[in-house]
Amino acid sequence: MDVIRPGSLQDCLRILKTEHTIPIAGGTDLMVNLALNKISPDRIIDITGLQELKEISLSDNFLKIGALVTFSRLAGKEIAQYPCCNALREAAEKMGSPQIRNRATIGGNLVTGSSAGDGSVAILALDAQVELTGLDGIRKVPLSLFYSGYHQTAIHSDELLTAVYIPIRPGTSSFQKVGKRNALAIAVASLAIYSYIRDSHFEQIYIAIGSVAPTPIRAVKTDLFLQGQKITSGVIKEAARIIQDEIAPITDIRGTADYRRKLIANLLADQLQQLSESKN
Amino acid sequence: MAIVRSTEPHAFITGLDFSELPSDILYFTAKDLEENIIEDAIEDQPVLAYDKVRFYGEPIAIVAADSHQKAVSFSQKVKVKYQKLPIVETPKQALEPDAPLLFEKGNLLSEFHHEKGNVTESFEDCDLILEEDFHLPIQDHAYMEPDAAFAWMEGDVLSIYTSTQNVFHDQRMIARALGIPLHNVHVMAATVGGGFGGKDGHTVQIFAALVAYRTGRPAKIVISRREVFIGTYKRHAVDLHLKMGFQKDGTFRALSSTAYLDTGAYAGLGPAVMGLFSEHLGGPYVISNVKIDSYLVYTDKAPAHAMRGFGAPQGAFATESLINRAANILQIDPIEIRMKNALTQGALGTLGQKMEHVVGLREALEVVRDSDLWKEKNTNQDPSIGFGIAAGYLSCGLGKGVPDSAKVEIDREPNGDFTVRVGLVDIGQGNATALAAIAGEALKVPLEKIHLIMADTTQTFDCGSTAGSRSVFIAGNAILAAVRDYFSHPETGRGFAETEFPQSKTDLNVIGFPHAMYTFIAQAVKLKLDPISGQPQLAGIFAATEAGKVINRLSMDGQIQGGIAMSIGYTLGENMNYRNGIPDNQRFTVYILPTAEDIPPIQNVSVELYEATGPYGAKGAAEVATVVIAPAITSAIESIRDLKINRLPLDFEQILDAKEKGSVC
Amino acid sequence: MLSCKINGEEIHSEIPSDMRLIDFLREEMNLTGVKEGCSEGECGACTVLFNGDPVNSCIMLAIQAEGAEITTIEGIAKDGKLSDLQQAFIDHGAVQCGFCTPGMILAAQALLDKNPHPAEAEIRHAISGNLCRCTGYQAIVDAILAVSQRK
Repeated sequence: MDVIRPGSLQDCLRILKTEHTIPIAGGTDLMVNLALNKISPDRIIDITGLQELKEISLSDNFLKIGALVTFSRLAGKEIAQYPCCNALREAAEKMGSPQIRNRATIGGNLVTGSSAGDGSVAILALDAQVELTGLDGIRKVPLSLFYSGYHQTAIHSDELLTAVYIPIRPGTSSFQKVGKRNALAIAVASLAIYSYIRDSHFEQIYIAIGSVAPTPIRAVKTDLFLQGQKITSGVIKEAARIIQDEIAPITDIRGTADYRRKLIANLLADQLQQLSESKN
Repeated sequence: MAIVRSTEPHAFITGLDFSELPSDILYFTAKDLEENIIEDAIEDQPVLAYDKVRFYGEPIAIVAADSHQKAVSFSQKVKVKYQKLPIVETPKQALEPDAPLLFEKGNLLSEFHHEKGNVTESFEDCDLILEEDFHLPIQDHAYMEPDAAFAWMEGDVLSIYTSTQNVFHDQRMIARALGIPLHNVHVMAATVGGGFGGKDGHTVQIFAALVAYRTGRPAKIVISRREVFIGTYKRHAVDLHLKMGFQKDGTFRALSSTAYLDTGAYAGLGPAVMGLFSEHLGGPYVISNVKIDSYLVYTDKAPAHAMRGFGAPQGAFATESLINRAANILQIDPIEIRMKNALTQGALGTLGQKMEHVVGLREALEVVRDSDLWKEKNTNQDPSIGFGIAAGYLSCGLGKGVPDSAKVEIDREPNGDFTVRVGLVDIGQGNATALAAIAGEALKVPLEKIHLIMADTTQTFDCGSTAGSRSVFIAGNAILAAVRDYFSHPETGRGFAETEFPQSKTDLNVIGFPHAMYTFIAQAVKLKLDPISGQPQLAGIFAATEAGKVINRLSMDGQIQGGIAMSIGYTLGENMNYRNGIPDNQRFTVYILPTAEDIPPIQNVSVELYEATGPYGAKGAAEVATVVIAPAITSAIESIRDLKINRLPLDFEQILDAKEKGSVC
Repeated sequence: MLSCKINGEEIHSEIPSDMRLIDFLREEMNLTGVKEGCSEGECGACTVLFNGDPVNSCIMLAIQAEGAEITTIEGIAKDGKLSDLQQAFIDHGAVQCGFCTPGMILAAQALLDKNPHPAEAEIRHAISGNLCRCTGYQAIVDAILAVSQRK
């Protein structure tokens, strides 16, 4: 196996055209998969030298986060200044361990396509788009259309995920997960909410959940129910009921399907409760 | 080097095909051994499986190359042909009349039966009888350093560095398997990255020795974390039914138990573990009427063996759980009920064995009662916060009938320094620190003038294993005796002595138990239940330990804190779960060890009673802390929610589903 | 060709492009204080500082260290004198078997470099990627706290 460090994004994309070639960034997933013999590429392109993918910038009310921005940075003050992106900061803080957060990148988290990806779940609630760059040009895909199946995404093998665009708007977001321990934990269930409350009613709400389906998913029915609602204990109860019906989790080594349903309902109720308290 | 391991949990080996290995890749099988046996108490385990495999991950062949990577990749090209056999998954299934057999002699390896007093009659006199089925899981030692060895030849002498708890046992195992004289095997322990019982037997020593011996070239082996999980020793899983009878005043009147210990595919130290399980099952209490039936059973899993606590944590979980529930029902304070029944010096334990040495259980309970953590229980208003306590004990030494001695030599060097030779291994717990301190104190010289030589078969005498909470006691006493010998004739510049561990006067016609001496603990926990997940967040642990006089406070507290952390893991999530003979948990991502954010602050207070037979009054302390934190935690949870926790690790869903205590629905 | 700084020294080395950083450090540079406990970034024994930040060297490629400054435990003591943290680990009994210790000290050092006076919870968070099976973490936390309070 050969590892190549391209000098530029264009070089990188050219090499990516060749067969059995995959990019590596932080490597926190890829190196594990290599060690487990789950993948055996002929060529690996190390993109960590591409400085242009490490930028965070704001333009036209979109926060552009370069694919190589690490979770440690996402957990820091660059994101903290945008309340609507709070979920991403909270997810970044809880993901893996300090060592993992120092290497793992947001781009890597998204293309891995894990249903338990903390960053992926948070960003999904933020109505983000991903920027996919190929030799033939750039396309933007809403994250809600990005995931196509278990560890499957819309990215082509000759494309690189180069950035994420998050709309900056009024409102706040939050992320919570339940793992099997307090650090180094893979989510048994996770839930992120972006919402904008005006005159005590949800003007906008997006809920994303992890570890309950083959990919991170949006809880669209629950969103619809909550849209326009005022947070009352009755609404919280009904929302928790709806979200449990909306999902079809599986039983695995980390938890049963039933437990996951209850966790999602509890996570939703808790975050709605916190929202209602912060507004009062 | 790499190991070809079984991919079947139970099968006949019908063929081994090495044809895809080029000539510069070497391989070794059972045929390359003079005697294919791992020397141990019961010799049922081959070094390399040859006719049959009995667990997933069992070593079958060794592949050696000039790089580790090459050896690993070619080991994957070795083809093993199997004729599959039905799998034995649980001890109860193993004992069914038509169960598939691991060995022709049957699946029951050993059993122990003991009756004291009159159990049947005394249960009739009880005011409260509690009985439950309990299940304890398989735990992995999870030492941070994967097993490793490095061997080389010099003339006829095979030298080897091993990651071990007993270099002299390694020497015997290697000499016998290779058919070479004992004096031609020179074993040294490397700095051992944790053992906890898991390196007190064969891990990889013979493999490295075999390759060096057959090729004449240096041989190095380091196994992967996955191999540690699938291929090395474990803590015994136990299924037990426990019944306890109480009087209204809190007296523990009767106890009966039927237990099945899952020893996996080979005996290891299983019979001794079953012995200590039975010995400690009743806890550190006076119980006049006891009936114990224990069965040690083979199944198609990695062999269970010694692990810190050695059978005691499993039984203590059941007993302490029932005691806490009884205290609650009888409305007696959980500390008072233990005070009332506590063993004292001279009293008789579960098996009728006399407490021949100092006993500080009541003192330990008093210290916990007076702790800030326990006092907070009375003022706490938060219904999601709970407190729990448990008490326990653990024997010191290798037990009745097992040779248990240490031989130590002290030499004065020309510059006035002293060399102290002790044939034990420091596996990280700090016995070297304590032994050097004992030697320095006795010889009346500063610590830097003491040079300890340990764990080397040519430079020390056989002192047995670093196990059984014995090393500081036995070697400390030997050092003190050797110092006395030196002072009796200082002109020789040499002191020499051999001492023995005190053995119980009670003889049950079994080997390895009971014991004469025990270390005592009481441990309390404060925790908060997360209403979202049902998971407990541990907020603090207070431990009181009576292990005689403390030689080194830091080492002592470290042993207690570390032992508690290990059993917090046992409680919260550690578990080797076998399905169809294959463990689910082969990686740290799914074998959940506690992190620094899961373990709460742990305070240990030592109750320093003087043990007259110990070095400077000390007893052993390395294992006892693992014994009872689990039932303390589950008791705290049961004080908040309406449920009974009868199995480990915790089922968070069960806790989440349970109603709050006292709630009406 | 890999060029980087290891423990303050400029290194230029011809290495296979698919070599892991841990193998480069242990096998080529003989820095055996870098320990391999799990090979998948779960235990933290292989922790090194990468431009001052703790990373798991078992799940990094060596060539990803191009131009970087790597610090291993061998680079922590200066002129034969143990660092404050190393000494505090000894004084507080924070070392038992020692296998996790190099990674633990590096993770703690990185914390104190950025946050000289962390709270206990911040310390536990900062070492949460380093598993220890021996100590129960208490003595380790005590050692780090002691150093932070001294400054």
